[in-house]
Amino acid sequence: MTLHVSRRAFLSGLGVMTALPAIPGYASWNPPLYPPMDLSYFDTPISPAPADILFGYASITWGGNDRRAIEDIRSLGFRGIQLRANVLQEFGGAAELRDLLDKHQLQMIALSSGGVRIDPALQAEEIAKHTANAKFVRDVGGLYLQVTDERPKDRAITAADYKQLGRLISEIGKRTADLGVSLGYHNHMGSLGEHPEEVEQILEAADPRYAKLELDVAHYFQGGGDPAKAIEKYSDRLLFMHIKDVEPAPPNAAAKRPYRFVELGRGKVDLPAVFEALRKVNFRGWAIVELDVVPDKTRTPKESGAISKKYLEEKLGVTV
Amino acid sequence: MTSPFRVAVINDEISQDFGHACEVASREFGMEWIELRGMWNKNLLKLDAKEVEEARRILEKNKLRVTDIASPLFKVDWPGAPKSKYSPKRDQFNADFTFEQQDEVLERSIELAKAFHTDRVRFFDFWRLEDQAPHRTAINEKLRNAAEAAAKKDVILVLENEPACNTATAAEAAKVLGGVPSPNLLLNWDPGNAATQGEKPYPDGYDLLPKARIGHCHCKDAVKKPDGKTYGWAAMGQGIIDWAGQFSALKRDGYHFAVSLETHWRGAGTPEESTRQSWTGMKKELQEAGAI
Repeated sequence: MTLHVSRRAFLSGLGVMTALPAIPGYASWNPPLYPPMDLSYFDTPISPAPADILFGYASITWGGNDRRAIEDIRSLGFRGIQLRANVLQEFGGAAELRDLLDKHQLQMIALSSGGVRIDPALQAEEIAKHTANAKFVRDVGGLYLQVTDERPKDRAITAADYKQLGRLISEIGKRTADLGVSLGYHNHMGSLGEHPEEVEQILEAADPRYAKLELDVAHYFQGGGDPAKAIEKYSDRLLFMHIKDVEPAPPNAAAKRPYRFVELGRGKVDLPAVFEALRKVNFRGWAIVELDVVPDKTRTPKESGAISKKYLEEKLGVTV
Repeated sequence: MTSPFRVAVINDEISQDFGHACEVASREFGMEWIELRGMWNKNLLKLDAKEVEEARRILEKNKLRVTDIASPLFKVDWPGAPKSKYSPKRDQFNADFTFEQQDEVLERSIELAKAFHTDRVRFFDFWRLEDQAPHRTAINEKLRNAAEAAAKKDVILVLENEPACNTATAAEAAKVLGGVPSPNLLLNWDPGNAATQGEKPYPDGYDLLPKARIGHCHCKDAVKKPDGKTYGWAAMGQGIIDWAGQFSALKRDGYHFAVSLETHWRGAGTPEESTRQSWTGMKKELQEAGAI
């Protein structure tokens, strides 16, 4: 991309323009359609509007029973929903899902499109798969495509891996943007984007126009980061949020991981600081509340959703 | 391409990659004009100085002139009225502005028009209300004020009839044009949008319009869905609109501004291929009308 014209260069350009008629052969020369001009006006963006956060809920807690999830999420009062790629098989087509969401007055915010594999041999396959998923999002009337990544397990990770991932999600994002669907990279435990410095390397390697950040505050916290600081740091890359809470896993030999996700307000994430940061950066967009599985098996997904909603409204003072 | 019209396409109907979109428009489609809406996954209103300069460089390279700035101006809720059911939940062509930001949106749209050497800016008539009658006088006043602000900078605002906004059809457009008789407020006549509201855009809708106040024209086709009630998009020439008749009438009536392809139909898979196929249909309709 070329540098924009400075005031000095602009004035110098005008000087050249006025001298042109004296140059032999000028008559056959076509004047430029876009002669130099001062464009510094565009260095100042339109004044930001105040923060406006809309709330949705992720269907993942229902473990694939998306029709039930749609009913429950709407009855809880959420206006948006994030679905997983299993809906491509579950529904006869985009139209069937769109009609069901319309019936429940739910906006599809995002589709979880899965992990991007960075193996160069799989690049074309990855681009095709996620682009096809974005077409489904578009046809349903959804907004965003979520991608994570698959961290190679059989070797040490190098800086080139982050760069390759950044390049690949940019290529996918270029294609989804043409479909009107923006791509959000989701930081995730166990992926290349687990720790804050890894997220930074991936985002630096990606084209900011086509690969945005879908910040998951619980994964970022568990990865050793401060999600409120990340919101400020990446404010111009934030596409949408995953609002989530996490706590150390209770002593239990069966636990697969040293942490577990819990309803909002019951874990260690400083959610008041998260929302303060969102307001500070004038975030205007969707916050998806997510809970991977119900931590207490005596509760239903809907009951867990109600606990999180109550926390948002009563403790954080937001309206779902 | 010789035509009484400025034959154009909206750039992001081809690709968000502006360089590629311009190459397709100029080299493949043979166009000399282009309409600007969004590029690089950004609304035009959000481009910074470097990006505006880069866009100008690409336009220069492809010898493309700009028909208008396809601004999202006034695609917001009208304050004080019940919230429109059409008010989106975010992200329409990467534009998300509030009513309070509209003065700046207008100013920036005008500055973009200057930067891209066009004299017109497309705009809308606020998200559609169930009953616009109690607010119409105040809305018209807002439109009039915007047109006066544009006039001071020698810019013309072209109001698009859009189904999600208060002016959706030719019948509604004729009323608004009558209510705001500013020479700097013209119509962006969109027969495709009118058709989706059950209006027969040509000849019926067109006959209602003051011809001297058509300042831009969007080209897309529509079909009635199997339910017999709602409409979907179609490639130009494949739908229900008599585009050859419409182009002939525009030519007859001395219209000489843009006829700009706004594909919307995505039946060929990608936006680029869909636009390519729709352009084939549009060219045929223009040829039939003796307009290229």
